[in-house]
Amino acid sequence: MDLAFTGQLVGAFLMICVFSLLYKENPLSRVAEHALIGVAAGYTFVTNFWFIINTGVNGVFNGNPQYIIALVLGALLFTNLSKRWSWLSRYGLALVTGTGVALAISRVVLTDIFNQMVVVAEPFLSLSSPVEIFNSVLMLAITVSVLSYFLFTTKARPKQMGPINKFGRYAMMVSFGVAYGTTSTYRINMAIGRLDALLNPSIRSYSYVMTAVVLAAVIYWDLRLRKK
Amino acid sequence: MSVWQNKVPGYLISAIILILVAEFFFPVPEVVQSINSELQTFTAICAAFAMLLGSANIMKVYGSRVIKRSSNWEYAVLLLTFLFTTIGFGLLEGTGGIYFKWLYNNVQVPAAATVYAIIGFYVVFAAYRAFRARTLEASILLVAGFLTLMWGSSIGHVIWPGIGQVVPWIVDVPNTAGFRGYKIAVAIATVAVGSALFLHKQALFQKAGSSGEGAA
Amino acid sequence: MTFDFQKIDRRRLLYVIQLIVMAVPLIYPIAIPLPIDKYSRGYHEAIEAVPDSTVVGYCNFISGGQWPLLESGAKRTAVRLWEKDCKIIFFAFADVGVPFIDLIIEDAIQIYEARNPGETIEYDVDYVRLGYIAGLETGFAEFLRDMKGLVPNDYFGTPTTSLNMLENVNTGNDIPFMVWAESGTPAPYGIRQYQETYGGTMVEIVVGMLLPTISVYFETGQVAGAILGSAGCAQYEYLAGMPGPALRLVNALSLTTLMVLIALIVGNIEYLYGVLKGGKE
Repeated sequence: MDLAFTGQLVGAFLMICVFSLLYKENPLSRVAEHALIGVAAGYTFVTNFWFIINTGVNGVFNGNPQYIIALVLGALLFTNLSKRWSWLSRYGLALVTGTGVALAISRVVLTDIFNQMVVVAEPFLSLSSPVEIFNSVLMLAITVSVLSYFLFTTKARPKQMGPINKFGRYAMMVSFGVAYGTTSTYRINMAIGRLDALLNPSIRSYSYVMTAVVLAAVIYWDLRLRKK
Repeated sequence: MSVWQNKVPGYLISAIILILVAEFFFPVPEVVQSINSELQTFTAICAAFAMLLGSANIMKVYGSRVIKRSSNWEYAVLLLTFLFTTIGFGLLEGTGGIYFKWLYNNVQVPAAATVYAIIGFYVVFAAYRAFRARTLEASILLVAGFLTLMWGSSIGHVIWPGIGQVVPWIVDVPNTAGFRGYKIAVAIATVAVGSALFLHKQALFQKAGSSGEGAA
Repeated sequence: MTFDFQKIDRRRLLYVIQLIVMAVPLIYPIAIPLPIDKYSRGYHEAIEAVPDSTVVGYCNFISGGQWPLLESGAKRTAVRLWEKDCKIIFFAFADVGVPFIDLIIEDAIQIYEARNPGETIEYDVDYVRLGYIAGLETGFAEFLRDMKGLVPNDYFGTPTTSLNMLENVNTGNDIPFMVWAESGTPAPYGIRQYQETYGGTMVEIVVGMLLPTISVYFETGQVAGAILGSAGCAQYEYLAGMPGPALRLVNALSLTTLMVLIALIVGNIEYLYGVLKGGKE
């Protein structure tokens, strides 16, 4: 039995253990969850460790001594684990926060404000059919009312905003409905993807056996728990 | 000491925001552009350290469970075994190593994907038990969701061929307009929070109840 | 002995029925007509419009959960770009995306060689791998500003300054086309930092859940096209003339979605019946 095939079987077993959550949380599902968290945390540690070595440490020895600053600030983040010295981690956090915020706010003005407003206004420059007029007016009304709903949220807003905000809420319900539909499809798709992996012809018969064994074990555990 | 603990990090954030945003909107000298480039590289390295910190935190939490013999401490032993085995293989072999990739592909991927996938089963049960048209708003949401589900599946187009005209209109007009309004509002809020951080009106590092510039 | 319907655990019964409805089309494929939406069409047209020998960036966030849904589109995109002699730079800003770049490349090479007998794909000629880059938006911004400075070595440890394919590729200006393969969390910073700043053409491979987000950027032209979930992959398989596994998943999805629709109708009929009878739900 080679490593790849063994891996498929281990993966199938873990998938079935997690699927057993649908019956009830049980020791096998907890084993799978803890194995997952352990490997995930280890994987994250390793990939980021090597990035630090390749970019940071090697960078220092290859003509970029200023990367020592980054390495020190990054190492200071670990002081977060100590109550007494956790204030030192604020310097690393300040760097990450400042850079992230600066990059976001400088571009978001163009991408998410200006361009979006242009697209709302542009159709009014060249309207041709009644359908286009209706769609453009409706889009403008919905965009403005939803924006108003989010921006004018305090009790101090004028009474005249009430109907506008209400219209915005109803329009948002359409967006949420579309989001519900697409999210449900996505989640079902993921479940189908996992089933497809379990029903892979190379391990299908093993999957059937493992499912039967896991299900029997979980039901037996549940019945014993109920008797207690 | 509180100057170094609270105010200096705040000034650092303001200075970084100032030079990075200035480069985007104004012509700046080359030295400023070089500083910005280095800042972004430093941030990438710091972000990697932050991810290491997350793993270290997990070690601390589950390690203390084992030491104190808390309830279900045996699972913590299992978790730490997998954690250190993965780290061991990763550090010895590198990210392209056989056993390191084996652990990722055959333990993390199937289990993580299945945790997300079981929600696909809850969706059907929730559709039957929870999703009720109790109010006008819920009804609008239900109808839009129903039509979108029909459109998203091939069989919906067989049941009602017109769904191919109706739902694209719903997605293109009311849905896009609604999301656009939400996106603009979020973008304005992003600029507002960024400006508040820059002007020290939004404190990241203040303790609750302490005096000083605006609490968050 | 009478049968009491009320005592049946409806939740677990629904799960079992759903399991059967999902599994049967996976084992016994059925034929259901497949409509083509404008996002897949836009995606296909954008790929076909890429000039030959263009340098293309390919950022992968797809990980285990989304892999079965999006793998077909991800691989066939690489195949089609190689058939246009494009040079692909593979990289990832999420550590979980890195191993799946392996799978994209391996399987795409197999599909390419099956479609183009006698031709091969070579490293540093047709593609390079830069591995994991930390920092998300900040890292991406710096990557597009000074690629070789942020990524001194490729995935295999070779200095990026010595790679032939990257000789004239230093910034985002040198990458006219970007493929952005996302997971379930929207990352519009790709659009902010690449499309808005450098003006290149961007296409996305995303899960269907991101349709509301993508539609906004598609209308503004910031995203030229998108593959949305396994349905999008099935559509792209058809448009690109490369049949694959996505169609089987789409058929299972169709039947399960029908089950959700029936559950919605039955649940609301039960509720309305209770309301009309004057009782509470």
